[in-house]
Amino acid sequence: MNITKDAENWIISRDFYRDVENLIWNHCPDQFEDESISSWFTRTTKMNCAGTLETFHELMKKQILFEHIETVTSVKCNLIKSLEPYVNINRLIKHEYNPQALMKHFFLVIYSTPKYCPFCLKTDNIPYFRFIWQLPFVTVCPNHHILLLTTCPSCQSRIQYWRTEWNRPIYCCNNCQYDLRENYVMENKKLENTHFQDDLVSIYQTSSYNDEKIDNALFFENLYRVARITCPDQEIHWKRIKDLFKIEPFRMYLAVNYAFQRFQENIRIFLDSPISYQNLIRFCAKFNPKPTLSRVDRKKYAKRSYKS
Amino acid sequence: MLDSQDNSENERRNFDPTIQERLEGILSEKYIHTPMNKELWFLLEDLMLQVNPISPKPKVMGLLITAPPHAGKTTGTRQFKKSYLENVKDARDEDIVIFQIPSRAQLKGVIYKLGNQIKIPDLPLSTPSSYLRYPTFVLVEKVAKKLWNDGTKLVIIDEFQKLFELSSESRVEIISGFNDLVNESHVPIVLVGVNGVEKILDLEHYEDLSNLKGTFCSRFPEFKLKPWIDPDDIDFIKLLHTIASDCGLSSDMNGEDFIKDFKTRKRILEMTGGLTGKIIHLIKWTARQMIRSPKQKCITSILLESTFSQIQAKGW
Repeated sequence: MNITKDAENWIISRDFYRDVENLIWNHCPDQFEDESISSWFTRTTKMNCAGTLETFHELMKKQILFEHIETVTSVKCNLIKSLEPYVNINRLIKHEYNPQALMKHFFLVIYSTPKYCPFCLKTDNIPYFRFIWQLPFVTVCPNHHILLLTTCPSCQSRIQYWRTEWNRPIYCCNNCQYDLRENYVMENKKLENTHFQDDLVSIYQTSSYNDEKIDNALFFENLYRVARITCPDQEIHWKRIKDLFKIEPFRMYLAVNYAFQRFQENIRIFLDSPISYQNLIRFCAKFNPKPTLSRVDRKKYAKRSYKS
Repeated sequence: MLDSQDNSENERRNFDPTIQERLEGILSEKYIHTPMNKELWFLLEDLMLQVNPISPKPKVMGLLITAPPHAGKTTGTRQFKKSYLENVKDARDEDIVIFQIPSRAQLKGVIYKLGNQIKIPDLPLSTPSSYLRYPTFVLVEKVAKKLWNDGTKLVIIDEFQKLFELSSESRVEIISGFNDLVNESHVPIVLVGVNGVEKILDLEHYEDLSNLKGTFCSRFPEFKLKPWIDPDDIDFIKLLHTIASDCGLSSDMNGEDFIKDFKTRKRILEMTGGLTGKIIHLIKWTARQMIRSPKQKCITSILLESTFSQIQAKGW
């Protein structure tokens, strides 16, 4: 600062205040290790007093469903790229901005509708939604061994935390503002189901099964088919869904979710027998000889999968 | 022969690096921390103390700074922010927000632009359609919450006089909007403009049923940056002395005679209207004249007059 100070004179300054061009948002929280990017993005926009969907559309510059952040890799990559001028990207956990690692979040294995554990949300200092809650084979909370919820206990609408108002917390129902942490009556699940679920999560995260490297996409795709085949009351359940809800896509997700729950109870047959990954593929090919589905072409998959 | 000598002298003076260096120093923008500015800074500092993140004060006082153009209102407030950032430990840029009212904007436009400046991500200026996304009261709520979340301690709103460009309804709307913003954010707001709120709310066909004028006047007490009036004022003489020293007139050119002369001081006040910005401008351009024309050895009233007419021709 160039200041001339004299005993008789007053202070003169030639340096003036200049507005610094800085686009970085004032609030940018760290992403938790197990947090989904859509949860982190929602928390960030809420801290900056902005609507989540509005900000998302501003960043993406075109109409893309917010749900696709988790299910379509290119959307996630584009979002992270467009966020670069505004947030310190190091706040994101590493695998989120590593394009190679991003490939593991392939379509088919992630639900666009998140499930949640009210106890986890209750005990969190900063409530957030876990990424594994969006995996279809994760139906039980690994910490509390209770069934994960998919809908609001009050109004039964599906949970879309990114649709909550800008000034509402992430743990509120976007439809009726019910506090999702308030539900304590929960069905306890058997521990062995959780073990099986943990195995699947481990396979998903490490891409290996019985020390054998596997193609994650193919593995879960086939597992999904097995789940549909082995679900004992599948036909009845699907019929009910169709009648009640006129085949809305998100209800289909619920149906698949239900199928996985049933599948969890029967899967010991596969795990106890010396079935290998190749056997599983052969098994699936025999019962459901459909071609391998595209990872990105969501529509084709939806048509093929839900036609029946 | 004489002409050629003069020409050669002038030619020698062109692009002379020592002269260029001196002129750069003299003609550069300056801020002088006068006692009036000191008083203003103390007031602003006191306003900032009202913000308490633990228990928000229900009624936060603001300030209305008024003065004619070139009195140094904007410079004074901007330098306050600069000084705050340099001297206060853990000071952050968002602690003091300086915002300029856009021309001919309604309340929604004003609040929207403020929201964009404080970086609310879904209020971009580049997407016109987003302007219609939220109603005005939501925008006020968003901006108020963001100011509170950011820990902002002072919002300075400059160019308050732009409200005169608007219709009566719009003026009333904006003023009550600022009132709401103070109430909801609990952050003090400083309004900077050329006229007081009396004139802004002095409207035809307007019945002040909600006593907006009274509320506003009590919430935003007026601080007038007064122009210099008395040529014998010791502070005015000090100001001239400070400018003269800064322009290098005291040491080698004996240029301070003009300060001692009552008539010259009085004439300076007449020419500049006693406004600090104009006084600085006049004296630094007179100093420039002295450097450019070698015949001038000191500041005289004739030189001041000729500089004054030159400035008037090109504008302040």
